[in-house]
Amino acid sequence: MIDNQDLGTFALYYALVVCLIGTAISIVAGRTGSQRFVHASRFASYTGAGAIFVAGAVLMHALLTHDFSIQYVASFSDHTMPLFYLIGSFWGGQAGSLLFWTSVVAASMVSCVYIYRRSYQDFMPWVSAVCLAVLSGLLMILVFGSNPFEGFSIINDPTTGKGLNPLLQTPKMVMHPPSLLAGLATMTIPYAFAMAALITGNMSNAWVKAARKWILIPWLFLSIGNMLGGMWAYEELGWGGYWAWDPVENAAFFPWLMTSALIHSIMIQERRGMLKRWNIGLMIASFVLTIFGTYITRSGLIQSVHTFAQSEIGDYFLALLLTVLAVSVTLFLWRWKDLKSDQRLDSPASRESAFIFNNWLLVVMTLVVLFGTMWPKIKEGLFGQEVAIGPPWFNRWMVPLGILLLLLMGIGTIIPWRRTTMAAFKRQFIIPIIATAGASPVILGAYWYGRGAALGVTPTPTEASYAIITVVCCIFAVTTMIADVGRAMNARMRKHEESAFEALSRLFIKQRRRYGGYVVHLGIVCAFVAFAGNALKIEQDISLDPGDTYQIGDYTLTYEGLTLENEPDKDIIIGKMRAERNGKHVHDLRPGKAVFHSAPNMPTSEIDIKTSPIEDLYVALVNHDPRTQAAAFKIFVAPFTWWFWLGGTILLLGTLICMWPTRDSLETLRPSPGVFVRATAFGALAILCVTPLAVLTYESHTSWGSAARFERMIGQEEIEGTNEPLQGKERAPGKTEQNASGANAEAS
Amino acid sequence: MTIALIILFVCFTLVMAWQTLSPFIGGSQEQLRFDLLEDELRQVEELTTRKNLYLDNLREIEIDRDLDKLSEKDFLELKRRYERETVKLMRQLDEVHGGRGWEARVEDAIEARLSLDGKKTEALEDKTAKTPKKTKKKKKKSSTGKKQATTTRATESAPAEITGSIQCPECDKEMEAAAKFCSQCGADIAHVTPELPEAQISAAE
Repeated sequence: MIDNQDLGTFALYYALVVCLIGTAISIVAGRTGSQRFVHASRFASYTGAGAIFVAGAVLMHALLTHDFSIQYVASFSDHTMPLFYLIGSFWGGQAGSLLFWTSVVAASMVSCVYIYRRSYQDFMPWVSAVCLAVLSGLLMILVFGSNPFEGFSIINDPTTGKGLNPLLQTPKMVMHPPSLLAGLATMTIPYAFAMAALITGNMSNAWVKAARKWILIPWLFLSIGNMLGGMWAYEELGWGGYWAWDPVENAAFFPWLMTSALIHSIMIQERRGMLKRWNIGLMIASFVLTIFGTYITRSGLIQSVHTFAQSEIGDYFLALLLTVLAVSVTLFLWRWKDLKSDQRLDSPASRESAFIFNNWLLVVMTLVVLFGTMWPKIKEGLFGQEVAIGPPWFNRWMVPLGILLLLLMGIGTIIPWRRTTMAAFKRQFIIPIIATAGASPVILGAYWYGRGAALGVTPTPTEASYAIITVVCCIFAVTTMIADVGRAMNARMRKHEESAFEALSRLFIKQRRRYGGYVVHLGIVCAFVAFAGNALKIEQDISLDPGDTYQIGDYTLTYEGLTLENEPDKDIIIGKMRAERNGKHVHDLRPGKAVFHSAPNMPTSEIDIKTSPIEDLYVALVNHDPRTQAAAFKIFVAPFTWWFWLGGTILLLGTLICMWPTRDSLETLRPSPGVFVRATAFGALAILCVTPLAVLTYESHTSWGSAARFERMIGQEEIEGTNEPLQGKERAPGKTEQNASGANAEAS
Repeated sequence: MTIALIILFVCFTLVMAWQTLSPFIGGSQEQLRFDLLEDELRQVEELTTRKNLYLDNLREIEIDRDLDKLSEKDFLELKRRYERETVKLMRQLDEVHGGRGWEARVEDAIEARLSLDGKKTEALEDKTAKTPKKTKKKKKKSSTGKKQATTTRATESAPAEITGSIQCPECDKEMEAAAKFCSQCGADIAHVTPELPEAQISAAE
């Protein structure tokens, strides 16, 4: 009987051999154009991917059947874990996450090779060659550096596993790592097209056309991954926010920013034949940054809350990074002259210029984040000095750059191609400018006098002006979009005699890329509303005795004491708090801490967040004294944070609209799915996009979002009766943050 | 469940591995046919993709013109350019698969290649005898609708014996005997009688 270890390891070796041979076949196919070799390269891709899927299925089988003879299974799962978290432990550790990454590259390669099996025949052998070469690199790391099927010797064969880190046992954390990994992995496909264009010397727009939708896939996954990570940090980790400019967060943010720039600049190449060098450069940079981000986090080069132990795998990633960089840059320089633009910029007041400025801004933002992430390490290496670059430094640079980007988003939506005459300017810009000038004071005034002033916060002049400018730019961006959609609807209604609703729906069906893009922009605007709200954010770390009250904004919080609840796998300490506003009871808050019996040194937070479009009231139990029942809390009132999650959701829906295949593209799938299947699939994905926000809102208004759910399940039990066990589980202050680091590390 | 998944992926891997090797296992004639037939399709797909790219661009600029994002002058200039490119591609497409009888051309090409390779006369005779059977087999093998459509049309309306050429009555462009439309001006030439080569005329007599 073949065991999991042997089968899994054999599958990995087999996949490595097939990928190496497949790369050679694909190179021959690309060079000779021989259809026999093209055919063989296509099927070699399928074979290599099949072997990788076998390895993945074997690891999943080992996890679900609790095969603790495999080290990975014993380290990241145990008998008590439910199915959902057992599946999550596939990518809960380093080797598993690398196998997951490899599987996603393989799956996307198979999809791409199948979809384009009869088109882009000059590119496809090279696309296969690049994908198979990347897969070979990843498989080498798996086989020689971090084999997930490594077993125990007979002497130390364990009978049970250690289980998944408790902090990772939340649904959001199960979904966050695979989304990010999928984002990083799927970047291989558009990169392979760029390389294929360089190798074949076909510098037309063909590679852009072929890679266009494949660029959106990593962007979508990176967006989902970053959003879920932020949500997890906000709801579970007790950071007090959704973004902390942590190096590992930044590592996922570089490729997102670069890909955002690329998505815009390829439009210029498609339409005007310009920016050919820039686009290839951006594509190479995006791919290199995905590997670089992985290298800095997995090698232990950068210290982060996502701490990873230094391992051999870092050296392998460095080798992969240097190889990719050397090959890409050599090919790029080789084709430098051929990549000359077909046309020149006609005028700085044109859509092309707006897109170019947008690209510069996004690239500068990437460089700022890269510098902020790497500079402490570089300085330490060069001068031996340790420096720390924290959120204030990042915010000082990123806020003005972000505002400029927002402004360009509005301008780029309506500015004409090639040049803008005075007449065109009047036609396009006058209405949005007037609308912005009229609506901005009304909206800002309504908020300030309706709610903002009551919070009693006086922001610094810089913060206040940034917030006001951001809101004005948001309004401008929205009005430009409304004006543009309105004009398009009018044109359709005139031309095709359609009703307004028909015209609007047809616009989204016929021009899904353009108007899907507008929906994405709308999502970004919502996120900026949340950023503007930070100017009025109140954050306090307080310590209270039972019966104490504390005033934050216009909320009066009364601390009522602690309770302890016992569950089969954990104990939960719950802080009871009552929130009043203007003398009226508004919320009962139940922040808590869960201590898992399997990991008593790693308490997890049960944060209570009352969220609404206007503001979030956030209370986290940081520490407690079981003897006196005194407790320390992190409390803040954050205006408009809900809009960040709404923005993320809209962004995902917009990307889905852009990516949704046309009828012609679906024809290539044979049999092409019918209307019902397509509508169902779109509906299911749309529901999936909306789910995080819906869950957050539901949790906020029910006991599911706080420790109160344990109270309800087990029943009230006052702390006095259970003083003894609570004392036994007392933790040192500051332990939470330290432990969170370890958990986050494994998750990523 | 996971066992079934493992078995499924193992089977998939084995079948794909066999497919990878298949082009190198068949006889030399089969391999040549493989190359030549695929080459036709490859050209058709390539041209169709490029044509669709220009058609997309044409749609986009029309919308931009309607939304005042493109001046009338720029619109007309771009439209002319895209239309010119599209028509050029459509003509090339017509040249490749607009006419009929391309399968016969493939057979000729195979024959020519085999002669060049110094194959024995026996092999050539054997191939000629097997040709109709193989054509059928190839047709069955083709999996795509487009390929099937092209092949079927070729077999139905252009038996291998129709050779020679016809001249378009409108623009004098010389076309393949089996062509339905002129690849230059688009005129309907289905009714035009082909000029048969002398050998065929005498054979017919």
